[in-house]
Amino acid sequence: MNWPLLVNSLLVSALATTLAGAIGFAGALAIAGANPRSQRMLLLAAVIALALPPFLVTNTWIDLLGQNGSLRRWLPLDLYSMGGVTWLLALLSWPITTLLALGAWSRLEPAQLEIDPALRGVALIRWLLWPMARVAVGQAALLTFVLTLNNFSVPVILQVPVFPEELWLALSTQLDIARAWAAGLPMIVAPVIVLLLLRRAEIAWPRTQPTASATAFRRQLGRGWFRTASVAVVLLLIFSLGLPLAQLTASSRTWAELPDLFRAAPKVVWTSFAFAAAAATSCVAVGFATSRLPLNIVCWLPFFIPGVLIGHAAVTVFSGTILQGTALLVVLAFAARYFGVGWTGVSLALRSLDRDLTDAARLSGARGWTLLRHVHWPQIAPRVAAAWYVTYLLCLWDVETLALIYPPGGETLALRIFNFLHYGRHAQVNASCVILLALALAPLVVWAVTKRWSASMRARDGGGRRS
Amino acid sequence: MSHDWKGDFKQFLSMGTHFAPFWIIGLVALVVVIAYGLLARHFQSGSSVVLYASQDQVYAEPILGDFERETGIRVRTVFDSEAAKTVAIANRLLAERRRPQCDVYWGNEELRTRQLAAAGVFRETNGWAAFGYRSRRLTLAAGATNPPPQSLADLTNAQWRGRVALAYPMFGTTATHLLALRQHWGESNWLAWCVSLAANKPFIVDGNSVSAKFAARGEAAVALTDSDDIAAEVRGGAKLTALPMTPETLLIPNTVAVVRGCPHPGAAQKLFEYLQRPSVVARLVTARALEGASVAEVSTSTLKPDWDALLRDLEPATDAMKRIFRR
Repeated sequence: MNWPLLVNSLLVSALATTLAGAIGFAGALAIAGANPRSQRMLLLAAVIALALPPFLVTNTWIDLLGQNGSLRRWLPLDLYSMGGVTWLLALLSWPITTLLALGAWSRLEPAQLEIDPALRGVALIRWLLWPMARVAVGQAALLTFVLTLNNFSVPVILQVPVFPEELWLALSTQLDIARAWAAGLPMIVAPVIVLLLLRRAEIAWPRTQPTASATAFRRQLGRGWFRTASVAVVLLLIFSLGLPLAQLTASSRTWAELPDLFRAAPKVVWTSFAFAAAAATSCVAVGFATSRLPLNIVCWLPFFIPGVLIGHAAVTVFSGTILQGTALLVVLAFAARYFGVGWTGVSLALRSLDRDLTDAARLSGARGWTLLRHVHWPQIAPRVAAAWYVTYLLCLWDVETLALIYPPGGETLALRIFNFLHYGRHAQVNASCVILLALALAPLVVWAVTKRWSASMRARDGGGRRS
Repeated sequence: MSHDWKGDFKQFLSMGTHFAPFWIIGLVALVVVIAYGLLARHFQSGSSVVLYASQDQVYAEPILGDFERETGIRVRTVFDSEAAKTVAIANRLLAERRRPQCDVYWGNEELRTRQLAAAGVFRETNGWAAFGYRSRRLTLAAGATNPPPQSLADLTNAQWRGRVALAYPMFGTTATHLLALRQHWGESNWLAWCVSLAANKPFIVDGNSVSAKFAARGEAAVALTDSDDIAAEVRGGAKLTALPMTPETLLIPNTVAVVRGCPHPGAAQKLFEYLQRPSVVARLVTARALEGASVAEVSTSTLKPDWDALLRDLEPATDAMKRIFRR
């Protein structure tokens, strides 16, 4: 056991998680207080920042602050250090905290903001916003901690030794799976300990009024806090999104390679979407079916296990069965690995249901499907959709789980990007990144269109009944 | 009076979404379609061969496309992934040993192939073959002012402190190269070199392509990497100079092997023979995936490892490298 390496890994992950949590929380404050149009744009930008490939962000900052970086003369900061790794991992992970905190605050009611005029600024954050988002931020911290703990590429590029090296060593040179599992144990135990510390049930606040408006939120937060948070989120988006996107899209070869990508591998786009969507849907569906079971810790265990070990276990267990070499095995492995995300999102959503509304609906005779469709679903839809979407993104980017089990001919965009990157095919990499970003945003577009359609249907139904 | 068909259609949709059985029927249909797609492997007809390839996908795909057109045999490929440190295929072959789904393995590194052969993954007779080669080289960045290193031992000199890039020594071709050097120099000289190199603060990076990039960017003055990675950077406009081969150079042939007990042995044999054709090797050389068609054409003396001894000493040598190159 390489203790210095393990301590290094835990320290890097803890620092990155803390920084990502702090800047993500600031981002959530700014977005929650923005006007609706700005909110949509900022949310979209945060999602794109989350969906960016790690190597793209890393290469951008090496071009800026590396030994021959363009900003090196004015900013003699050492990127090749623990600080540099912390900064980059935080830039890659802050949207997780932002999205989950915003999800928690989506149930904020106007009365809660107006109940006490003194509830402004720091007091608002301390007595209302933080308690409401505490569990969500804790879950975001856990997600971020695990993702940064398992991240090998960014620390190695920046010359910082981390513990996942042990696992890859065992698999690479010695092809020794038993040693790989032994090496992976600390990476599983550490997050389990964090999960046990964060194990808290969320209070189901009864909901009687529509969600609080951004204007009220901004008023209670105060000009100073809102402006500070806004500046922070703008800088964040420039550093984590603007600069890498500029590098991605500035080259004309990126766009020239797009048609070639579809010609060379027409199935790869559909395969990427299908695996991620099927796995996310399975996680949410099973989450609905098992939401009452005490799976809080058990369902997260596969998430903490390094993806390559999950893949190896899947190959070993299902070797010789009808599932071997099929896409269904990939969906099952993804669903097993990310089930915790879907289950937690669904069970939190169901626990936050307005019990008074449910009782009233039951008294009116609503049961089963009618109760779900007309009473529960409108309340939980945003949070369930958020859980589905986070799971979808994680599956879309997964390469370690996939590498050992993807069916022949069933390559995904993420795998293709990593392979091309290794061989220096930057134009193809950038073109693939553009497609992957489009896939990452596609569900948001569908959600927005569906919401608009539902609203127009409801307006038409309401108008029809009145006439 | 005109008929409002749009309104009627919208009303029909609204009624449908309120009618629960439609949802159940739709869900069942969706599950059936998805299950069919996900299990499609079992419903496919026609001749096919499954290939696990460590060769660069960009180089391999055109060649496999030509094979498909010539033979009518569909090639379903799994490419190795740099994301999994190129160990995915080797571990996958070992995990699937009892019921292989792979027919042919196309390797780009001899040590891995020999490890798998020793584990009984390939067929007993005519299991695997080597073709073409690339090499492990030192490459000099543009603008490097020092005289170039004449041998790998020079990398431990003070003038190269903090200016050398190499991939993590425990992975891939870098590991193979260092293990071959251990045989060539003897263990004590090799250990002393490794310790001195580690003390000279090299950039230890995530792969040979990154090592070449470091030199291309000027982050490092010299990089120890593979010849195809140097070629890739030069193709991208980098001004790199590959230093000549020396007795410390390791040649790395491509390998092709037929898996023991593979599901399509006939198609596998055809692909096995196809990949060794001189015309195919020539295409790989033209594309700079390989440096030459045969190791026999190299006139310079290079490393000639005793592979059996190298495999025997793999674990102690790797443990030594772990201790030395770990900070």
